Amino acid sequence: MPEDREPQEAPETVDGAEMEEAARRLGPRNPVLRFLSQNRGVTALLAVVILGALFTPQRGVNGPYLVNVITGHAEPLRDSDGAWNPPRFLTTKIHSDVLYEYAEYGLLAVGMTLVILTAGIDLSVGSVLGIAAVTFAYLLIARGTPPAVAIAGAAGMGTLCGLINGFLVSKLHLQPFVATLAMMVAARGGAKVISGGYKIQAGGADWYWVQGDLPEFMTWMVSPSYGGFLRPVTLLFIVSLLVMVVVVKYTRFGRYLYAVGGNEEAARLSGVPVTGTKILAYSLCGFFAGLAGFCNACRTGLGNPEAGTTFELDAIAAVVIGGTSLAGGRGAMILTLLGALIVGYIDKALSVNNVDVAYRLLAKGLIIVIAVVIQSRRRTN
Amino acid sequence: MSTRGMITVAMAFAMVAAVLAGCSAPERGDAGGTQTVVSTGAGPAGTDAGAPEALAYPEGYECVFNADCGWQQEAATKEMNSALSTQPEIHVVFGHNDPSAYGAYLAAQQEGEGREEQIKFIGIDGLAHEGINYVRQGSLDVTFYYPSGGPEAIKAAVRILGGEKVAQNIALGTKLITAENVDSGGEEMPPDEMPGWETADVLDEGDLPQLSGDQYLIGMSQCNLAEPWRKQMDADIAAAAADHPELKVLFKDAQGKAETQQAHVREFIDQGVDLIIISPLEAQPLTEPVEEAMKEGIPVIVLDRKIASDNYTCYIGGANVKMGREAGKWVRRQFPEGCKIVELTGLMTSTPAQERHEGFLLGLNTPDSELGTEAPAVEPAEPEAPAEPTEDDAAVEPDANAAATLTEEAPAEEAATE
Repeated sequence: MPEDREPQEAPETVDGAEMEEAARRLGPRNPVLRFLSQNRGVTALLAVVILGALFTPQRGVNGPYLVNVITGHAEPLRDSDGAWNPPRFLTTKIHSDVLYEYAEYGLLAVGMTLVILTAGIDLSVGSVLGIAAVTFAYLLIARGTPPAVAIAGAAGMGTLCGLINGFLVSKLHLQPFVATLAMMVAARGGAKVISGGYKIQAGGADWYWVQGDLPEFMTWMVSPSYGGFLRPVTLLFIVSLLVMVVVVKYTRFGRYLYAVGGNEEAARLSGVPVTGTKILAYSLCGFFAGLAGFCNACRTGLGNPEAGTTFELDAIAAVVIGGTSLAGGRGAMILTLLGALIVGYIDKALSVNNVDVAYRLLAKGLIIVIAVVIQSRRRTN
Repeated sequence: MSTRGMITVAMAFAMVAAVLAGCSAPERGDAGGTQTVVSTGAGPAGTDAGAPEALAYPEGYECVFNADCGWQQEAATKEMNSALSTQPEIHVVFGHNDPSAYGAYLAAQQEGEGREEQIKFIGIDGLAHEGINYVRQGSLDVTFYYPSGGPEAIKAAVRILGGEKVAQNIALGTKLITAENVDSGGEEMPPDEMPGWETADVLDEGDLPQLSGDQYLIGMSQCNLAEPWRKQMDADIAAAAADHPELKVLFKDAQGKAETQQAHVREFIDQGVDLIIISPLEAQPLTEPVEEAMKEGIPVIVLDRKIASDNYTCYIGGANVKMGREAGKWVRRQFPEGCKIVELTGLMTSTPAQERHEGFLLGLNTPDSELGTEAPAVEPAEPEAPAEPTEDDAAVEPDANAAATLTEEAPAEEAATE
């Protein structure tokens, strides 16, 4: 959209003013309705969850709850012993699962949002996840270093890849698509070099430090703690996201991101350190891909050199569905969370209903189109 | 505008819900079985592979959850989470490969309620650093070894280069590997006998010929080394060839591209190798290059997947139906009264996944009298599934159906995504 590039659309006016104007025109008086109308992402997420509650099965019963109610196959919500048997979306386990399963995509999407805000793209995050996962597993399982060293290794490897991306984009002026495409291929190769082409796992080779069970640390990262709801991996995702929400919204670096993405030349002329901002954005993106790789290794219990293949597309989808514009300069970190959750919840609702993967892919495509249509209508309004 | 957005999303969801209302779980169990299996290539026994009859889970054995995980461990973990949250009772998880079964195990373990103790996890492939490792750790209860055919290929190569004639079709068996027998290498399950097929034992009959001449070049064309099982195949070939100093094997990896593999075969012909071993990516595109090599007088050994003609020297492979079938029989032996099963399939558009699924149903439909590990010499037709080929019959009659099944079994196609 050409108007995205106009300076007056840049930093501060992005969401708030536009929303307020829309609210003046259309906003209902009721504060709840007004909140919903001003926060479409939240509304969509609520709609998904409510519909999910109606259409997920009860435990031990096949088929969507609402369909079973209509056809008379539903079990009573409370059985004779007084135990509840609600549709699965009304249990905490599902929500815990969704957050846990989307933690990796979420971490990738957090980094991706930063890069996309600068009007860039990072295609390498999936491969960087892979190289970070094998780095972590190599250090922890094969070399027996303490977990902290292994995590630092994974995050460091990710940051290094991101730094190279940032350097190629800002100093050598490669197009982000090209630079990160190169990194996508190279990082996958690097992952195979580090791992020797095999999955790094406990007992996988004679010389590995860990021969018996999974390292306790990896098991701990994915075991329910904090009241059985959150796992450390999930918590890592949420904390990373909240920190970046604050960074993007309230720091100078955050404003620079919007400025660079909105109009790079104008930003340069106004004294914004464009090169530094870009390098930092890509480095952070690599850093979060490194963390995602560490999470992936803990989740799968091994370092797989093929891990993360095509994950970059899911990360981009989450960012786009949230409403951040690929043209740059527009969007917000919190929207990315909503985007990731909308995809996650729809996927989960289909999965617990045991729907064929083919239909799930169709649904996912549909959701992306709908989300983007809603966005572009908002802009033309 | 916001309400409109909300309605749009709601409508999308309702559409999706309508789709899933029409295809919810119970009917899904036999989805793979009803699929038309595309038979790549004319059967070597000259049989016509018709579409197999729809097989179903037998009475008492219920598939409570079934999902296509595309061979991926992460996907299996995710699907298993869904299965665990909706199914209060699960007895068996059948993963089409070891990573799927292991991913399901991790999901059950991460639940933190000890459910992994109540479930039997079955995997396939039995690679040293994957399945066997998982069985040893106690994660998987059983895995079925998927032989690469590498050592057999080198034995066949030595015989062919020494001027001997080898059987054109050699079927491979599997091994049942559990915690009890993992250290002794597992329990051998020889291939089912079929007309036109020999077992790998024929390669051990009589001494290998002494090769004259100083060096023989063998070209090995691998279709995709990104798959651990194929990496193993190359490693097996290299290890077996190391015992024969007169053999030199050149390895090429087509990285999952049929065009590249065609080029590799032509390069081998051009280079004048003495013999070609090929594990084709797909039957059709590789048929012509292989025939070209045969025309040049270069013998070709085909591994795992077939080509679409009879014009090759020797084919070695075809254990996918066998492994699925043994897995089904194992479930029958463990749960004679029936059980609830979660099936986490490989990519169902690929033939190995279709064959493993089909084999599993065949195994579950095995009559009680045949459940022992050794097949009886003569047996009546199976009452439960009369139209199905009974592969582990001791070939009392040259049953066209039996050969037909093997034809489909042959073009095994480990998904490139594994």
